[in-house]
Amino acid sequence: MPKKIVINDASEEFLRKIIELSGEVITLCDQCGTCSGGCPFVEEMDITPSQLMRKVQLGQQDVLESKTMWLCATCNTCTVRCPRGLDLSKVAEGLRQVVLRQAIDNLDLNNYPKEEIKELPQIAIIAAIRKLTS
Amino acid sequence: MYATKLASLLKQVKPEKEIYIFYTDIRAYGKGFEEYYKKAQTMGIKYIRGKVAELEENPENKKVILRAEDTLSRQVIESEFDLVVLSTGLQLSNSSEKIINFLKLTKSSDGFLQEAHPKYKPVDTNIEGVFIAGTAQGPKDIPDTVAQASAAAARSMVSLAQKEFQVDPMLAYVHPDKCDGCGDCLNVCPKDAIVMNKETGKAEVLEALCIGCGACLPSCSKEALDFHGYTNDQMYAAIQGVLDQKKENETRIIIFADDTCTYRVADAVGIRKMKYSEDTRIIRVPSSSRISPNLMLYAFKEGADAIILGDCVKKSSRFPWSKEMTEKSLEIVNEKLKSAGIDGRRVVFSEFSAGALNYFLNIVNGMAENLKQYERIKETQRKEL
Repeated sequence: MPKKIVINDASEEFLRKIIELSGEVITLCDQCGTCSGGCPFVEEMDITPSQLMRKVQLGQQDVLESKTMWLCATCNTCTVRCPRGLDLSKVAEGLRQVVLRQAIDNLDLNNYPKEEIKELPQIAIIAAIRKLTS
Repeated sequence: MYATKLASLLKQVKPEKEIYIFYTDIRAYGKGFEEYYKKAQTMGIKYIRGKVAELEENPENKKVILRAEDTLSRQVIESEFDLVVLSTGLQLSNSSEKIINFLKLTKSSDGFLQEAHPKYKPVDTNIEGVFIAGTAQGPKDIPDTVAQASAAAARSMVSLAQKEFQVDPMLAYVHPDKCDGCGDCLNVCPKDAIVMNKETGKAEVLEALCIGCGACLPSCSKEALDFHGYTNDQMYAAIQGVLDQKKENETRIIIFADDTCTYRVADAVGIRKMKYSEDTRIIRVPSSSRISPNLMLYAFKEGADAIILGDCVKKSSRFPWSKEMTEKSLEIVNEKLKSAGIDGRRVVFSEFSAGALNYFLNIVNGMAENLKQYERIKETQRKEL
């Protein structure tokens, strides 16, 4: 069943917020699909980068539940290929910021024994605490 | 594009307005148009690919609820808008109707004025000395209108600079000795080029108005109307000529090919070395409407087995009335053929365009194939005509 979406003030506000966070003129995206076609991670994503852009354009906040922006490795393949000169990795970062700023703590380091934390890769620890600082 | 323009203007004055443009296809074809579209997107105007399906009023706040599919993301959008504007297509202005009727200009099927030729005479009309420009001829932006208007002005200067006005020599004329002044031809001419000379009491063709279709010729029962370059004598001789070598067991299909379309398509077919029935003989005419019933019946009498009358497709024809006029002649011929016991399907009218080669082959070869099914015309039947 195709989803029915409603455009309202909240969706406008969401779009404005992502534009502000990413610094990219998201309304410029023409949905040509070059980004998705060239993305090395697209097979792992639930929605393609161009679909992600469309969802942001329409102010659909369910885009935040998507895996796509977390899988973006900022390889910038899409950025160099985008005919409209958009930097999708910045958009992905903007979306990650929105989620991170909600400061939902899925991983409380205090719940882990010290030995286990020692074993964890440093980047994982930084990522876990970063949401509280940015 | 004008939706983009209006949206941009509004957005410049009131940036807080959220503007959506629902479209099926963006055709930003002109110089700088694509950049303009991009600029509008940068300003934050949102483009949704999808036609608006439903509009209804919200009874609570009197706003418009709009439903459409965003065909890019395959989702249905439902939203409330303060104002919904319908972007309509451009039409010819109502006031043009008066001048069209006055000058007897032709309109093309899109409702705009028809140019004499879409490629070689884009600002001329079928009437010498009348030129068109701008949105009278078709939807256009300002630079294109200015360019076309300049061209029209330059074209009119060509006419004005001449001391004498030259007309195409292929025009209708009257044999005064044959004309008895019956007046049958007067109302036939779509350009009102035939008048009665009150002094002599005979019909007269105004050469400045005649555009050379020959549609008036069938109306004259005395064959007093004639056509320079395609005179009645020449036509009878041509028919006789193409049927002269016909042998006992052969068939002959005569194509009366109009100069602009049918003759060109036949030419193109030949250049491409495409094969069509060798029983075919082509006679060039200014337009199919020039062929009077007498000529067609004469062809059958002399041994023709089928006649194909070819003319341009109505909407792009120099003589859009050809089909109607030819069909009138066909009615008369069919009646005669019927009384002589000859199958009426042996005479057909068809519209050809100069590029439709296969269509031409289908019509000609189809007729050749059909002739094999029909009973051969007997000499006695031919004599009856």
